[in-house]
Amino acid sequence: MIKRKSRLSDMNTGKSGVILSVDGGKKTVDQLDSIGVRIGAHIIKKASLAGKGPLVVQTANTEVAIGYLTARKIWVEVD
Amino acid sequence: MNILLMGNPNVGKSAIFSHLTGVSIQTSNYPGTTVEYTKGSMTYNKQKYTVIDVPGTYRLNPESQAEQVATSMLDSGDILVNVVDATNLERNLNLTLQLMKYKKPMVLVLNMWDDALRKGIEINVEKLEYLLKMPVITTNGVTGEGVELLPEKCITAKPTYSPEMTPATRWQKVGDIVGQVQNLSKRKISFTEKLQDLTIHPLFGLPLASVVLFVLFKGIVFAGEQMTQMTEALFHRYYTPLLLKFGDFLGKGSFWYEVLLGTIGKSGIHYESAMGVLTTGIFVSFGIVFPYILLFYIVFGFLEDLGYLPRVAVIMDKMLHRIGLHGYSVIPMFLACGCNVPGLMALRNLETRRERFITGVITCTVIPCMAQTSLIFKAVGERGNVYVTLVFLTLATVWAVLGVFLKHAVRGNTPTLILEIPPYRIPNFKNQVKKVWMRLKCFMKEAVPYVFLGVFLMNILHVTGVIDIIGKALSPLINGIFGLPAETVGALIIGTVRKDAALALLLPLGLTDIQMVIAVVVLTLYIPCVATVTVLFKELGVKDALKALGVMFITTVVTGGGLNLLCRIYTLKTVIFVEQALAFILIYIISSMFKQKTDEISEAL
Ligand SMILES: Nc1nc2c(ncn2[C@@H]2O[C@H](COP(=O)(O)OP(=O)(O)OP(=O)(O)O)[C@@H](O)[C@H]2O)c(=O)[nH]1
Ligand SMILES: [Mg+2]
Repeated sequence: MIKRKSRLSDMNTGKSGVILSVDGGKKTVDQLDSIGVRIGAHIIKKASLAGKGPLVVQTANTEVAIGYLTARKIWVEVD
Repeated sequence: MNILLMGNPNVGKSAIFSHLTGVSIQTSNYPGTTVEYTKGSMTYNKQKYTVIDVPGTYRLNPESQAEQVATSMLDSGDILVNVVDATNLERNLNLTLQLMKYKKPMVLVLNMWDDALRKGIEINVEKLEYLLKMPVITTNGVTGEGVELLPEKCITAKPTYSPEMTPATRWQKVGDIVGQVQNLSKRKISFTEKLQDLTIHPLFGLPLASVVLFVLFKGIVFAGEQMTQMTEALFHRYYTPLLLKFGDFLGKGSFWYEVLLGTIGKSGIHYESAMGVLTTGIFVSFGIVFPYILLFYIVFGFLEDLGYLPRVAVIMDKMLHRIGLHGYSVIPMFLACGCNVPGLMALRNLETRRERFITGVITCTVIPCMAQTSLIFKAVGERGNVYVTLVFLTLATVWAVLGVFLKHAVRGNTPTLILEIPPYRIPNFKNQVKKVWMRLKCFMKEAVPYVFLGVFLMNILHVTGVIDIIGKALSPLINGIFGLPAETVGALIIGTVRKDAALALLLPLGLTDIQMVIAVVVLTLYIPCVATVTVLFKELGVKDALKALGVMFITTVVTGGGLNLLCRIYTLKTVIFVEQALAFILIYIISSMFKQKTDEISEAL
């Protein structure tokens, strides 16, 4: 299977993947990391709100809402 | 000896604390319920220990004020009880390893054990104890099951240690531990999980939220009307005879008669206009406000425990950013609909000063607390629904325009949303009753005395004639700009103490419909009640709080004056449309004006 690299914001809802990198500053990276959205985590995109609204991902058993601008900075290797 | 309850947000620390100490505190299903520490005590082997419930935190170097409270408490703790969500072991253990570097005795509490079992998550407790070198117990924070083992484990716990690590190695270590102790089995997707996806659905989420909130609002209004009619009847039937006897005892015309009972005519007691502490004071608190507060907290407590609020935060996030707010602002604003004080306290979960300022100003300017809302229904509702609509539409307009203004005028940016969304949990009935009871008790203790104080003060002002002097002095503003009679000054003065008491003062003044609408709007906007102002200063600091009060004053003059002007030119229905149109124009002007000027203005603010 060919794996594809994509921004979290561009991923289709329902797809899953592994987080490769986060472009943001240390503050954002740390905050995401502490809530479980970290490099190497397996995530499923559960929903994304219209008009560049936030999107919701599930990692392990947690659902986390992430603003669109932050989600653009998260790179995912889509399964 | 201090025992500290630490852990991620929304894992049930406060629930465990209540069972451990017998001290009831608020729990609810969203991250950030507890923003300040609460102390309680427990006795074990005749020895007393202090137990401290701490705000939840994801990490030990946090950004938000609430989380900072947690980490600053750490040094004072002798024993750490790390409460974790058993359904979420991986994320939670990350904090556990960070806590272990403090070399303190620790106990791990696997809470939400019932949820874990339901979700098919098995955790090998002995193995976890062995790997972490600390006692591990399983609990249910709702029923208190398992909590009874906690005191003994706390006292016998030995210090544990884990060195400082980089986040990546820490995750690796956590992954390693979880891999050894946790076993997941497949199971069916439950009904609440399906509902979970529906409520944040890109298409259905927003309409669903609008319908849910509107229906609940309408429900509260309808049931509130029925209940206040009932309480009024009860007052006349049982309370009036009692008061009349008491009046005979005091003797008509005596000082205490005036203060406690007020003016009583031949036709019996007019609770709305008598203006005595025991007549109007009691009636406003228990005849009008109480039923609405009761209804609101029943409904709101249910939404809180279900876990709906963080979802509203997600679906409203985009829209709220447009007006300078943040998805999480939903929580302070919702809380403020009950009472502005907890609403402002919840600001601590916001990360930047700018967010706190904007949300704080908007919350206490525009959002009427339930006590106030119930009197708005009383004062304006009787005159027709269109007036109620005008009041709330005006407030909503101010909300949007003020938001856009502050968004451009306050320096800095609002960070994007990063928020954990808890699963839906079916609220526990006993818990719900307890929560409503706690809030009602708080209303009686913190609010009712101020209503009495307000009515009492009003009497003093009247007797001494001070009110006429102030009325004359403020007449250019009150009469000239708002088009209100000078007597409304009494309400404006008392409004600084308590808004519901102030609104009650408007009832006997014989205002026209439009005047009533303007008076109600002005009373909502101009300044919060004294309890809220106190908290405002505490939460925002003196400088920002003063700015906030300035913003409120200007908003009041513009809105009250504008409304007065519009109502003189147009018919009522047209006013509603014109107001909306003006709002859009204003928003447009502000946005385009500030595009160039943002920098200069932010210097000024
Ligand atoms: N099913 C289940 N629900 C629980 C359990 N313990 C707590 N809850 C619920 O989980 C939610 C969160 O509980 P809180 O006690 O407010 O959590 P907290 O850790 O104090 O949260 P913050 O103050 O926000 O950090 C509430 O709705 C509780 O009723 C449990 O063992 N099982
Ligand atoms: Mg708590």
